[in-house]
Formats: sequence, C-alpha cells, structure tokens
Amino acid sequence: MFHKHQESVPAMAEISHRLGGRSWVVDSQAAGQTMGWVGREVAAWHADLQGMATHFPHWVLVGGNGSRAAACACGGPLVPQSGGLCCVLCGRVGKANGLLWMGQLPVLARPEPSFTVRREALLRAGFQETIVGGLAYLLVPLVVVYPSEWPTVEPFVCYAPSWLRALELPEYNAGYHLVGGGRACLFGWGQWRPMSVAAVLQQRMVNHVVSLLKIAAGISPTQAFIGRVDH
Amino acid sequence: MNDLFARVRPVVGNALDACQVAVVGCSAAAQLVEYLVACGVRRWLVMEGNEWVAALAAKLADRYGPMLTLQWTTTTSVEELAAADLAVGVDAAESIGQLPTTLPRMLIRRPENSPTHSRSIQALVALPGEGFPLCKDAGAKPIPICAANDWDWLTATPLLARLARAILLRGTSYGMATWEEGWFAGIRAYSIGTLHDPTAVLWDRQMHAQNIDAPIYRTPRLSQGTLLIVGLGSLGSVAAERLAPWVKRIILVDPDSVEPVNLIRQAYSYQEIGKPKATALAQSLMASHLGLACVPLVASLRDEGEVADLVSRYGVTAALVTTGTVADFAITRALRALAVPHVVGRCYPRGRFWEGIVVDGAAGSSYEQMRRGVVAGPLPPPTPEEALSYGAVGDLVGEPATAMETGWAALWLARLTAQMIVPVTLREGWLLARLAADATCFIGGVGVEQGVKLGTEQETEEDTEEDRAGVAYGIRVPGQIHAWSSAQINT
Repeated sequence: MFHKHQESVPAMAEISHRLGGRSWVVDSQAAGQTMGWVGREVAAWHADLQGMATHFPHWVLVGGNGSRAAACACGGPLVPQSGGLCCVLCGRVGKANGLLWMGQLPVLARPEPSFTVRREALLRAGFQETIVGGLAYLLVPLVVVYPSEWPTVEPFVCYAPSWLRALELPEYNAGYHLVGGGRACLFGWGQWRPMSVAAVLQQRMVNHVVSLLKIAAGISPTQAFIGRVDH
Repeated sequence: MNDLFARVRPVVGNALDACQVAVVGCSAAAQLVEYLVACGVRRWLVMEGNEWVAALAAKLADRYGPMLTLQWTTTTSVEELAAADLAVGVDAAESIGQLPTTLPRMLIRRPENSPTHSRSIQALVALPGEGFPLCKDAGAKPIPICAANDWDWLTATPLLARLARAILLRGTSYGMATWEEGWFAGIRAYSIGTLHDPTAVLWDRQMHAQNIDAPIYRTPRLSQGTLLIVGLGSLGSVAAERLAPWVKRIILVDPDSVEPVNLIRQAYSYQEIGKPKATALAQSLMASHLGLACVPLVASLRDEGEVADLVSRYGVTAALVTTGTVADFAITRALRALAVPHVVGRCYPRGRFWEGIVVDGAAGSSYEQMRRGVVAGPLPPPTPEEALSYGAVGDLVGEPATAMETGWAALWLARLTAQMIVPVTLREGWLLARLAADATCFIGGVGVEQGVKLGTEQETEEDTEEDRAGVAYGIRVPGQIHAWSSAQINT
C-alpha cells in the first residue's frame, strides 16, 4: 500500500475532529511540524485521516509524549490545528514529542457470570459502557502512538493502565501479549507490513481486547489467544 | 547477568561442555576453535609442534579472563587423537586419514590445497563407521587467484564451525535439523563459494572436480577512507575488527557499555567489561592496527541532522549501520541524501538468517525501499527457556544465538562494506553484477526452513514437492546467500 513514495498526492478533503463540544480542522502542516514522516509519507497520512474518519469517527488525533496525551497548562489536549499544536480549550500553542490517536473501542461485554464482577469494577473505576440492541458494549479506552518511522514500523497501541488494573490484568506479561506500559503486542517479529491505523485497530486490536476480556473472565491465556502462543 | 553463555545456552544447551575436539592442521584452524569455544567446547586435543595453539590459548585467556577455563592436551601421535568426540583437520588429509573410523571426522580443504582444483572451501564429513567420500582428482594445473584477500576463508569459518557443532550435537535435543536431514540423505561434502561467486554453497554426497579456465579477482586491501560504524554489538564490533585494515579512520558510535554476556559474541575482552563499547573498541583497534585512527562516540544517532553533521565533520566515505533499531531508517536517509555508500545489517531471531542491504550511495534502491518489502519467514519454535518465560516476566538476556551465526553475519556485512569502501573499478564481479541488477538485499541463512515461494522463483522438473512449497528466502543449502532485487521483494 505504501511501497512507493509519491511526489505529488492529490489534496484530500478537510477532516474535522470534535471533542467536548469543540471542533477543528486537522492541520497537516502542523502535524508535519511534530512528526517528520507526515511530510515524507503523504499517502499514508491521508489514508490514516480518511480511514479513521470513516471507521472510527469519534477518535481524535492529539499531541503526545510517549503514550500520554500532551496537555496544555489549562489541562486541555493539544491538537494539530491552525498552524500548530493548539489547546482545544484555550487555543494556546503547545509542544509535544509526537502524535497519537485516542478514542474508545466498543467491545461486547462477556456474558459469563464470572465476568460480571469485572464489569462492575470497570464501572466503579469510571470506565463507560453503552447498550445497543439490548447488548452491553464496553467502551475500551486506547491510544495509538505513531512511531517516528511510520508506516515502516508498527504503531504502539496501549491500554490505560487503570483499565488493566480494574480487570486485575498486569501491564506486562508475555503470555497476555502485553509488552510493558500497557502496550499490546500485535505483530510477531518481522510480521509488520505497512497498513493504516484503522486497519491495525480492526484487524489486530479488536482481537487483542477480546482475548484480554476472556482472560479477565477466567479463561487461560493459551485458550484466550488461540494459535498465537506456540508451546 | 554474569553467565558467559547466557545467550548461547538456549541454542546449544550444556551438551558441548563435556565434548573434546581434536584439531590438526595449519593455523587457519584457530578461527574454528574460537567459534567452538564460544559455544562451550572447553576440551581440546592438539598435536605437538603446532605453535599457533599457544598463541590461540593466550588470546582466549585474555578475552575471557577467569570466566572460562580451557583444557589443552597435547599429543605426540595422530592415534592419540582418536580419544576425541570429533576430529577436525584443516589441509590435513593425511593426518585425518590415519584416524580410526570409530570417531566422526571433518576434513577441510582450502583452495590452494585442493586436489580437485576447486576455488571453493570444501568440508568432507565422515560419520562413525564411514570413510571419507571420494573426490576425483582434476589432473590439470590450477590457475592462481589474482589479487587475493582473505574474505573467502573468513566468511567460511563460521559455517565450518557450525558444521562441526552439528556433528557434535547430532542425536541430542539440540541437534541441528537441516544437517541431520542432510546426513540422512547421504550428504557428506560441503563446498562454500563456487567459482566466481562466494555467496553460493553446494552440498552433495561427494565433491566434484572443477575446471577453472579464468583467474578469479579479489579486491586488494588499500587502507583508504573514513568508515562510520553505527551499532557495536554482535554485528558491528566483529565487522569493525575485520574492516580496520581496509580504512584509514573509523568513527565508532554506540551508547552502551560492555557487559559480561557480550564477550561470547562481540569483539570485547574481559578487561573491557564496564567500558563504553565505542571507547573499548577504538582503543583495541588502534593498538592492533598501526596508523589507524578511531573516533569513539558514546551516543545514539537518532536523526538525519546528527548523521549529516558527522559525515561532514569527519569526511565519511562509507558506512555500516547495525543498530538493529528503528534508528536505521533516519541514519540511512541521511547517508543516502549525502550519497555515502552504506550497508545496513541485522540478524533475524536466533540468528537463523541475516540481512544486509547494500546502498551504493545515491544509486539503486534505498534501504527503506528494500526494507519495507522483506517479509519475515516463519519463526522458529520457542526454546525451552522462551516457552517458560511466557508464563511470567521473562529474563532472557537478549536474543539467543551463538557467535557462529552472528559472526557469519558480521563477516559478510564487513565483506560487503569493504566493497563499498573501494572505488567501483576495484569491486569484485559477483557484487558488481548484483549492483547492476539492483539485487542489493542480501539474505543469508544458516539452515533451510519452509517459507513462501516467491512468484519469481522458477520451477524446474527436478523440483520436489518441498521445493514447490517454497523455502524461506530461497535458501536451499545451509550457508547460502541470496541477493534479492527491489522488483522481486515488492512483487
């Protein structure tokens, strides 16, 4: 998909993001000032913006420091808009080391009675769920952190440590495909091929979340991640 | 972690600790001994009068200090060597031939001593109860090599050592599948480098005579230019040692310090533990190469600006990048933009394959263009240690692999880099042909594994079902190196 560098890429339609009642147009130039790959990999950049707008419209792109969203002094997140990384709340320009997508992934709550306790723990910890068609969906908060060499290198997809704690899951365990700091191991060594962030979420992260919920419901890791751990 | 063999045990276990290996022949055998020592072989039988043994023993004592004790037993007759678990001879056909067939024997012949006039380095194996396979004498006068260097032997020795290790480990839980299957099929002869192509290897039931009708050119060593080496681990440090005679100055970049577990695969010694790798290597290289200048930089290179500054400040004329990290991309973008020829290398898990992407300055495909298309082959099953680590926080110290695998990779990366240091007119034909075809992604494999058959691989009538299923990276014989083009990779 991204094998060839394209020197001239057709301009794409503006993409707007919304957060807390405010909206803004994602500024590519501002994004490129934070992460150099945006200017080198224009096709990948457009594919990500479009893909996320289509499949994950409630997710937003923010400035980040590691796997944490960078914050303005007023506490607001910094987003690429109007020529810089600007605070959503007060408009001041800030700085960040990189860019990350943040949002929630809706995943069916497990039906086992053993999972009820976990679901209640998540609600007590402040995590949300929604009911659609009579079915309960957990809203799993995630961040997708862009590496400096995107899309040649895979992204970091991380759970909120407090979400893992609420489910009594560790931040690092090889058997759970968690590699530390709540980061999910989604690709075996050398398996990564350039793909969009939306594709990573759809093809890999959904399965990872479902597998962790199985473990939280009492299923063994080898059963939860069938075919991924070869003993 | 103070266990010298922490990164080796998952691959060879403790099976080699009790083995005794007999070595006969010339000083060229010393390198084989070093590789086997690095896998745990401690007991050695040698013939009296081999002066190289004392020098080697001193070198190994200096390298490993009190962390490793070797046992050297000197014999006065060939017959006494029969007490060993394996006898290895380098250009020592007569001595090896006198040994009883009860023990496994391995005879290595270098081209200058080949009765078949082969330009290959050959290894003949006789398992217990067997004689050596017959080799037909070519009869004609051999043609000399023009402008020799020692890369052929250097890049062959890790493979030969690996064959010796396979013989020692046969039938154990650490047996090497590719070789065991080969021996079962009758393979007893192994030839490294064929005619004009040092990347090719052959194996067969016996050696065949070769008729050489043209001299073979090898690049002479001219000691020129400034070489940048980024990453001084198992690949970079070993490559630096072999590239030192080829350049006037080396810039050595690495942020880490020497640890005990590094000694077994990297070019550092016991006294250097705790020192920054860049500093330790710079000092040792300057001490052993008169006139060489080294500039150590204890740092990580992370962006193009830093690299451009280095290139400009020191007049870098070629580079070897072996960080094995994402930093390789930024470093190579800068080198490419400045038209600096460079080689980027890394090993795949457990050193089963190595990859070296050659970028001839601004010509041909870039590292990024090549790297994106290479798909990893099937992963090996986990070692017992890796399987245990899945249940809890793992404590594996780095990727398990021996000096044979990483050393082979390092020497080939050095060989490719040496070609990039010299002017185009002095480069060897096998590389010029690959550069012309933009086949600059070299992948070498120590074993044969199942993989995806590429659309560009031609099927022949001789292909077995296994052939049609595909082998990883086109590697059909242990030690084979295949050069892939951008068009093939990105198909």
